[in-house]
Amino acid sequence: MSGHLSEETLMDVVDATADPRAREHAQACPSCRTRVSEAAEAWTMAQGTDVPEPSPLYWAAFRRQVDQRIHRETPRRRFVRFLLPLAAAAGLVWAVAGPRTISPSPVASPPVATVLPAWSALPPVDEDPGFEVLQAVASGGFDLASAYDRGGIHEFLWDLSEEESRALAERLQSDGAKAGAL
Amino acid sequence: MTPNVTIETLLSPLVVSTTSEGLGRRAAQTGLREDDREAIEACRRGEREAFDRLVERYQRDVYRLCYRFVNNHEDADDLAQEAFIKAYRALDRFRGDSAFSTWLYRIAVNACLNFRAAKKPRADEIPEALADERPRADEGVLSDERSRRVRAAIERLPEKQRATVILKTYHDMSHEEVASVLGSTVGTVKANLFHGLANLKRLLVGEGRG
Repeated sequence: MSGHLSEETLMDVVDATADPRAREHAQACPSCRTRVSEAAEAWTMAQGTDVPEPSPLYWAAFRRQVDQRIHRETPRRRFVRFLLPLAAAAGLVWAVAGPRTISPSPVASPPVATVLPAWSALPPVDEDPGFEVLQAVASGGFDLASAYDRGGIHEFLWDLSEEESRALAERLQSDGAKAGAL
Repeated sequence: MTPNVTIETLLSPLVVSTTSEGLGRRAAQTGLREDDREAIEACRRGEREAFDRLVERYQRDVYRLCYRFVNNHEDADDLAQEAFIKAYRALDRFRGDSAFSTWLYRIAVNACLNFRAAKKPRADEIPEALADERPRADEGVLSDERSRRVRAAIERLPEKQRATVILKTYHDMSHEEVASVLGSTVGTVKANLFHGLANLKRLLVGEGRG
Protein backbone atom coordinates (compact mmCIF):
# COMPACT_ATOMS: atom_id res chain seq x y z
CA MET A 1 0.00 0.00 0.00
CA SER A 2 1.46 3.34 -0.99
CA GLY A 3 1.07 6.52 1.08
CA HIS A 4 -0.82 6.75 4.33
CA LEU A 5 -4.30 5.65 5.23
CA SER A 6 -7.16 8.08 4.87
CA GLU A 7 -8.94 9.30 8.02
CA GLU A 8 -11.93 7.17 7.08
CA THR A 9 -9.78 4.03 6.93
CA LEU A 10 -7.86 5.02 10.04
CA MET A 11 -11.19 5.20 11.84
CA ASP A 12 -11.99 1.71 10.60
CA VAL A 13 -8.70 0.55 12.12
CA VAL A 14 -9.59 2.20 15.45
CA ASP A 15 -13.03 0.61 15.15
CA ALA A 16 -11.48 -2.78 14.34
CA THR A 17 -13.51 -2.98 11.15
CA ALA A 18 -10.69 -2.29 8.69
CA ASP A 19 -9.71 -4.84 6.09
CA PRO A 20 -6.51 -6.87 6.66
CA ARG A 21 -4.39 -4.76 4.28
CA ALA A 22 -5.28 -1.57 6.09
CA ARG A 23 -4.57 -3.20 9.45
CA GLU A 24 -1.20 -4.40 8.23
CA HIS A 25 -0.32 -0.94 7.00
CA ALA A 26 -1.37 0.61 10.30
CA GLN A 27 0.95 -1.82 12.08
CA ALA A 28 3.90 -1.24 9.80
CA CYS A 29 3.68 2.53 9.21
CA PRO A 30 4.89 4.52 12.26
CA SER A 31 2.90 7.62 11.30
CA CYS A 32 -0.41 5.79 10.83
CA ARG A 33 0.23 3.67 13.91
CA THR A 34 0.72 6.79 16.03
CA ARG A 35 -2.42 8.41 14.67
CA VAL A 36 -4.47 5.29 15.32
CA SER A 37 -3.11 4.94 18.82
CA GLU A 38 -3.79 8.59 19.69
CA ALA A 39 -7.35 8.45 18.39
CA ALA A 40 -7.99 5.20 20.23
CA GLU A 41 -6.63 6.68 23.44
CA ALA A 42 -8.83 9.78 23.11
CA TRP A 43 -11.82 7.59 22.41
CA THR A 44 -11.22 5.52 25.52
CA MET A 45 -11.00 8.70 27.57
CA ALA A 46 -14.14 10.12 26.00
CA GLN A 47 -16.03 6.89 26.63
CA GLY A 48 -15.06 7.02 30.27
CA THR A 49 -16.69 10.37 30.94
CA ASP A 50 -20.20 10.91 32.08
CA VAL A 51 -22.41 13.93 32.50
CA PRO A 52 -23.69 14.93 35.93
CA GLU A 53 -26.95 13.15 36.55
CA PRO A 54 -29.92 15.25 37.61
CA SER A 55 -32.11 13.85 40.36
CA PRO A 56 -35.27 11.89 39.52
CA LEU A 57 -37.26 14.92 40.68
CA TYR A 58 -35.73 16.96 37.90
CA TRP A 59 -37.21 14.71 35.23
CA ALA A 60 -40.72 15.15 36.57
CA ALA A 61 -40.23 18.91 36.55
CA PHE A 62 -38.78 18.73 33.05
CA ARG A 63 -41.84 16.89 31.71
CA ARG A 64 -44.14 19.31 33.48
CA GLN A 65 -42.38 22.27 31.87
CA VAL A 66 -42.55 20.75 28.41
CA ASP A 67 -46.21 19.97 28.95
CA GLN A 68 -46.95 23.50 30.16
CA ARG A 69 -45.22 25.01 27.16
CA ILE A 70 -47.22 22.79 24.83
CA HIS A 71 -50.40 23.57 26.77
CA ARG A 72 -49.75 27.31 26.48
CA GLU A 73 -49.06 26.96 22.81
CA THR A 74 -51.94 24.73 21.76
CA PRO A 75 -54.90 27.05 22.43
CA ARG A 76 -52.90 30.00 21.14
CA ARG A 77 -52.21 28.29 17.81
CA ARG A 78 -55.83 27.29 17.55
CA PHE A 79 -56.83 30.84 18.36
CA VAL A 80 -54.47 32.31 15.78
CA ARG A 81 -56.06 30.15 13.10
CA PHE A 82 -59.42 31.49 14.21
CA LEU A 83 -58.22 35.02 14.76
CA LEU A 84 -56.70 35.70 11.36
CA PRO A 85 -59.88 35.41 9.29
CA LEU A 86 -61.80 37.22 12.01
CA ALA A 87 -59.25 40.00 12.11
CA ALA A 88 -59.33 40.22 8.32
CA ALA A 89 -63.09 40.62 8.41
CA ALA A 90 -62.84 43.20 11.17
CA GLY A 91 -60.16 44.99 9.17
CA LEU A 92 -62.44 45.08 6.17
CA VAL A 93 -65.20 46.66 8.21
CA TRP A 94 -62.77 49.14 9.63
CA ALA A 95 -61.37 49.95 6.19
CA VAL A 96 -64.83 50.84 4.96
CA ALA A 97 -65.95 52.73 7.99
CA GLY A 98 -62.66 53.50 9.68
CA PRO A 99 -60.94 56.07 7.45
CA ARG A 100 -63.83 58.45 8.09
CA THR A 101 -63.88 57.73 11.76
CA ILE A 102 -60.30 57.16 12.91
CA SER A 103 -57.59 59.62 12.06
CA PRO A 104 -53.94 58.66 12.55
CA SER A 105 -53.82 60.99 15.50
CA PRO A 106 -55.87 59.51 18.33
CA VAL A 107 -56.28 62.97 19.84
CA ALA A 108 -58.14 64.20 16.79
CA SER A 109 -60.36 61.14 16.54
CA PRO A 110 -64.05 61.82 16.79
CA PRO A 111 -65.94 59.38 18.94
CA VAL A 112 -66.47 56.39 16.73
CA ALA A 113 -69.72 55.28 18.26
CA THR A 114 -71.45 58.35 16.88
CA VAL A 115 -70.54 57.54 13.29
CA LEU A 116 -70.76 53.75 13.14
CA PRO A 117 -73.72 52.82 11.02
CA ALA A 118 -76.74 51.68 12.93
CA TRP A 119 -76.65 48.30 11.19
CA SER A 120 -73.08 47.53 12.25
CA ALA A 121 -72.56 44.01 13.50
CA LEU A 122 -69.88 45.32 15.82
CA PRO A 123 -70.72 45.80 19.46
CA PRO A 124 -70.66 49.34 20.86
CA VAL A 125 -67.15 50.71 21.05
CA ASP A 126 -66.97 50.70 24.80
CA GLU A 127 -67.90 47.01 24.84
CA ASP A 128 -65.72 45.89 21.97
CA PRO A 129 -62.32 44.61 23.14
CA GLY A 130 -61.10 44.29 19.57
CA PHE A 131 -61.68 47.95 18.80
CA GLU A 132 -58.78 49.28 20.79
CA VAL A 133 -56.55 46.69 19.21
CA LEU A 134 -57.62 47.73 15.75
CA GLN A 135 -57.19 51.36 16.69
CA ALA A 136 -53.64 50.64 17.79
CA VAL A 137 -52.93 48.84 14.53
CA ALA A 138 -54.45 51.68 12.53
CA SER A 139 -52.42 54.30 14.34
CA GLY A 140 -49.29 52.54 13.18
CA GLY A 141 -47.88 52.09 16.64
CA PHE A 142 -48.76 48.42 16.96
CA ASP A 143 -48.42 48.81 20.68
CA LEU A 144 -51.09 46.28 21.35
CA ALA A 145 -50.25 45.87 24.99
CA SER A 146 -50.81 49.48 25.83
CA ALA A 147 -53.84 49.68 23.60
CA TYR A 148 -55.53 47.02 25.61
CA ASP A 149 -54.05 45.78 28.80
CA ARG A 150 -56.82 43.74 30.25
CA GLY A 151 -57.60 40.03 29.77
CA GLY A 152 -59.32 38.34 26.85
CA ILE A 153 -58.09 39.02 23.35
CA HIS A 154 -55.08 40.90 24.62
CA GLU A 155 -53.64 37.81 26.20
CA PHE A 156 -53.69 36.01 22.93
CA LEU A 157 -52.36 38.92 20.94
CA TRP A 158 -49.66 39.53 23.46
CA ASP A 159 -48.61 35.90 23.16
CA LEU A 160 -48.21 36.15 19.39
CA SER A 161 -44.70 35.75 18.13
CA GLU A 162 -43.10 38.64 16.33
CA GLU A 163 -43.70 36.89 13.04
CA GLU A 164 -47.35 36.20 13.82
CA SER A 165 -47.92 39.77 14.93
CA ARG A 166 -46.34 41.03 11.73
CA ALA A 167 -48.50 38.69 9.65
CA LEU A 168 -51.61 39.93 11.45
CA ALA A 169 -50.66 43.58 11.01
CA GLU A 170 -49.84 43.07 7.33
CA ARG A 171 -53.10 41.25 6.78
CA LEU A 172 -55.06 44.03 8.42
CA GLN A 173 -53.24 46.69 6.45
CA SER A 174 -53.54 44.85 3.18
CA ASP A 175 -57.28 44.23 3.63
CA GLY A 176 -57.72 47.83 4.68
CA ALA A 177 -55.88 49.05 1.60
CA LYS A 178 -57.92 46.83 -0.69
CA ALA A 179 -61.18 47.95 0.82
CA GLY A 180 -60.08 51.57 0.73
CA ALA A 181 -59.38 51.26 -2.98
CA LEU A 182 -62.92 50.05 -3.64
CA MET B 1 -19.26 27.64 10.23
CA THR B 2 -22.79 28.85 10.75
CA PRO B 3 -25.25 26.04 10.30
CA ASN B 4 -28.34 28.25 10.66
CA VAL B 5 -30.67 25.31 10.34
CA THR B 6 -34.37 26.01 10.29
CA ILE B 7 -37.02 23.54 11.30
CA GLU B 8 -38.03 23.25 7.64
CA THR B 9 -34.56 22.39 6.36
CA LEU B 10 -34.07 20.17 9.32
CA LEU B 11 -37.16 18.16 8.62
CA SER B 12 -37.31 18.31 4.87
CA PRO B 13 -35.74 14.94 4.11
CA LEU B 14 -37.90 13.22 6.66
CA VAL B 15 -41.27 14.83 6.43
CA VAL B 16 -44.31 14.91 4.29
CA SER B 17 -47.76 14.86 5.74
CA THR B 18 -48.24 11.26 6.73
CA THR B 19 -51.23 9.20 7.61
CA SER B 20 -51.15 6.80 10.49
CA GLU B 21 -51.48 3.97 8.02
CA GLY B 22 -48.37 5.12 6.22
CA LEU B 23 -46.55 5.44 9.49
CA GLY B 24 -47.44 1.89 10.42
CA ARG B 25 -46.33 0.53 7.07
CA ARG B 26 -43.00 2.30 7.32
CA ALA B 27 -42.49 1.36 10.94
CA ALA B 28 -41.88 -2.24 10.00
CA GLN B 29 -39.14 -1.21 7.60
CA THR B 30 -37.36 1.54 9.50
CA GLY B 31 -36.92 0.46 13.07
CA LEU B 32 -39.63 2.77 14.39
CA ARG B 33 -40.47 1.27 17.75
CA GLU B 34 -44.00 0.01 18.13
CA ASP B 35 -44.59 1.95 21.34
CA ASP B 36 -43.26 5.11 19.69
CA ARG B 37 -45.55 4.60 16.73
CA GLU B 38 -48.55 4.16 19.02
CA ALA B 39 -47.70 7.28 20.98
CA ILE B 40 -47.22 9.32 17.80
CA GLU B 41 -50.54 8.18 16.42
CA ALA B 42 -52.24 8.99 19.72
CA CYS B 43 -50.69 12.48 19.61
CA ARG B 44 -52.06 12.94 16.12
CA ARG B 45 -55.49 12.02 17.39
CA GLY B 46 -55.12 14.88 19.84
CA GLU B 47 -54.17 12.88 22.94
CA ARG B 48 -51.59 15.24 24.26
CA GLU B 49 -50.66 13.04 27.20
CA ALA B 50 -49.27 10.54 24.68
CA PHE B 51 -46.51 13.02 23.98
CA ASP B 52 -45.66 12.95 27.65
CA ARG B 53 -44.84 9.26 27.23
CA LEU B 54 -42.42 10.12 24.44
CA VAL B 55 -40.85 12.85 26.56
CA GLU B 56 -40.46 10.44 29.46
CA ARG B 57 -38.89 7.84 27.20
CA TYR B 58 -36.33 10.13 25.62
CA GLN B 59 -35.84 13.03 28.04
CA ARG B 60 -32.68 11.63 29.57
CA ASP B 61 -31.00 10.89 26.25
CA VAL B 62 -31.95 14.26 24.78
CA TYR B 63 -30.84 16.13 27.88
CA ARG B 64 -27.51 14.32 27.97
CA LEU B 65 -26.98 14.93 24.27
CA CYS B 66 -27.58 18.65 24.81
CA TYR B 67 -25.41 18.70 27.90
CA ARG B 68 -22.51 17.23 25.92
CA PHE B 69 -22.85 20.08 23.47
CA VAL B 70 -23.12 23.01 25.81
CA ASN B 71 -21.52 21.59 28.93
CA ASN B 72 -23.85 23.26 31.39
CA HIS B 73 -27.14 22.31 32.94
CA GLU B 74 -29.09 25.48 32.31
CA ASP B 75 -28.57 25.57 28.57
CA ALA B 76 -28.93 21.81 28.27
CA ASP B 77 -32.28 22.07 30.03
CA ASP B 78 -33.45 24.87 27.70
CA LEU B 79 -32.26 23.08 24.58
CA ALA B 80 -33.75 19.73 25.55
CA GLN B 81 -37.11 21.40 26.18
CA GLU B 82 -36.84 23.24 22.90
CA ALA B 83 -36.10 19.98 21.07
CA PHE B 84 -39.24 18.38 22.45
CA ILE B 85 -41.40 21.41 21.66
CA LYS B 86 -40.10 21.47 18.09
CA ALA B 87 -40.70 17.74 17.78
CA TYR B 88 -44.26 18.20 19.04
CA ARG B 89 -44.93 20.94 16.52
CA ALA B 90 -43.53 18.85 13.68
CA LEU B 91 -45.02 15.53 14.73
CA ASP B 92 -47.67 15.61 12.02
CA ARG B 93 -44.90 15.63 9.50
CA PHE B 94 -42.86 12.78 10.90
CA ARG B 95 -42.93 10.13 8.18
CA GLY B 96 -41.48 7.29 10.09
CA ASP B 97 -38.58 6.91 7.67
CA SER B 98 -36.27 6.54 10.63
CA ALA B 99 -36.58 5.60 14.25
CA PHE B 100 -38.30 8.33 16.24
CA SER B 101 -35.17 8.64 18.37
CA THR B 102 -33.06 9.37 15.27
CA TRP B 103 -35.51 12.05 14.19
CA LEU B 104 -35.62 13.52 17.68
CA TYR B 105 -31.82 13.51 18.00
CA ARG B 106 -31.62 15.30 14.73
CA ILE B 107 -33.87 18.03 16.05
CA ALA B 108 -31.86 18.23 19.26
CA VAL B 109 -28.50 18.31 17.46
CA ASN B 110 -29.69 21.10 15.21
CA ALA B 111 -31.04 23.04 18.17
CA CYS B 112 -27.59 22.71 19.72
CA LEU B 113 -25.77 23.67 16.54
CA ASN B 114 -27.96 26.73 16.14
CA PHE B 115 -27.55 27.65 19.75
CA ARG B 116 -25.41 30.61 20.48
CA ALA B 117 -24.57 30.61 24.10
CA ALA B 118 -25.47 33.68 26.06
CA LYS B 119 -22.41 35.62 26.96
CA LYS B 120 -22.99 35.43 30.64
CA PRO B 121 -20.91 32.72 32.28
CA ARG B 122 -22.82 29.68 33.35
CA ALA B 123 -21.96 27.08 35.91
CA ASP B 124 -21.27 23.85 34.11
CA GLU B 125 -22.56 21.65 36.86
CA ILE B 126 -26.09 20.89 37.90
CA PRO B 127 -27.29 22.99 40.83
CA GLU B 128 -26.81 21.04 44.03
CA ALA B 129 -30.51 20.75 44.68
CA LEU B 130 -31.02 19.03 41.33
CA ALA B 131 -28.04 16.70 41.37
CA ASP B 132 -28.52 13.01 41.83
CA GLU B 133 -26.60 12.12 44.96
CA ARG B 134 -26.99 8.38 44.56
CA PRO B 135 -23.75 6.48 43.97
CA ARG B 136 -22.97 5.70 40.34
CA ALA B 137 -23.46 2.12 39.26
CA ASP B 138 -21.26 2.36 36.18
CA GLU B 139 -17.68 1.36 36.64
CA GLY B 140 -14.84 2.76 34.62
CA VAL B 141 -16.21 6.26 34.75
CA LEU B 142 -13.44 8.81 35.11
CA SER B 143 -13.20 11.00 38.15
CA ASP B 144 -15.42 14.07 38.14
CA GLU B 145 -12.47 16.33 37.54
CA ARG B 146 -11.18 14.31 34.60
CA SER B 147 -14.67 14.01 33.18
CA ARG B 148 -15.00 17.76 33.42
CA ARG B 149 -11.75 18.22 31.50
CA VAL B 150 -12.80 15.82 28.76
CA ARG B 151 -16.23 17.47 28.47
CA ALA B 152 -14.61 20.88 28.26
CA ALA B 153 -12.27 19.61 25.52
CA ILE B 154 -15.20 18.13 23.57
CA GLU B 155 -16.98 21.46 23.83
CA ARG B 156 -14.03 23.08 22.06
CA LEU B 157 -14.15 20.77 19.04
CA PRO B 158 -15.46 22.15 15.75
CA GLU B 159 -19.24 21.65 15.54
CA LYS B 160 -19.44 18.72 13.15
CA GLN B 161 -16.62 16.88 14.87
CA ARG B 162 -18.22 17.54 18.23
CA ALA B 163 -21.60 16.29 17.05
CA THR B 164 -20.04 13.16 15.56
CA VAL B 165 -17.96 12.35 18.63
CA ILE B 166 -20.95 12.85 20.94
CA LEU B 167 -23.40 10.78 18.93
CA LYS B 168 -20.96 7.98 18.23
CA THR B 169 -19.41 7.80 21.67
CA TYR B 170 -22.33 8.43 23.97
CA HIS B 171 -25.42 7.40 22.08
CA ASP B 172 -24.26 4.09 20.80
CA MET B 173 -25.14 4.93 17.23
CA SER B 174 -23.83 3.22 14.15
CA HIS B 175 -21.98 5.30 11.57
CA GLU B 176 -25.09 5.07 9.40
CA GLU B 177 -27.34 6.40 12.15
CA VAL B 178 -24.97 9.27 12.88
CA ALA B 179 -24.89 10.05 9.17
CA SER B 180 -28.70 10.10 9.15
CA VAL B 181 -28.88 12.45 12.12
CA LEU B 182 -26.27 14.81 10.72
CA GLY B 183 -27.42 14.59 7.12
CA SER B 184 -24.01 13.47 5.88
CA THR B 185 -22.35 10.35 4.50
CA VAL B 186 -20.84 7.46 6.38
CA GLY B 187 -17.40 8.35 5.01
CA THR B 188 -17.72 11.90 6.30
CA VAL B 189 -18.86 10.64 9.68
CA LYS B 190 -15.81 8.38 9.98
CA ALA B 191 -13.43 11.13 8.89
CA ASN B 192 -15.06 13.66 11.26
CA LEU B 193 -14.90 11.17 14.10
CA PHE B 194 -11.23 10.49 13.48
CA HIS B 195 -10.40 14.20 13.25
CA GLY B 196 -12.50 14.86 16.34
CA LEU B 197 -10.67 12.21 18.37
CA ALA B 198 -7.27 13.42 17.17
CA ASN B 199 -8.18 17.00 18.13
CA LEU B 200 -9.54 15.82 21.44
CA LYS B 201 -6.26 14.12 22.19
CA ARG B 202 -4.36 17.28 21.27
CA LEU B 203 -6.58 19.44 23.44
CA LEU B 204 -6.23 17.15 26.43
CA VAL B 205 -2.47 16.87 26.04
CA GLY B 206 -2.16 20.62 25.59
CA GLU B 207 -4.25 21.25 28.65
CA GLY B 208 -2.17 18.77 30.63
CA ARG B 209 0.96 20.65 29.67
CA GLY B 210 -0.62 24.02 30.35
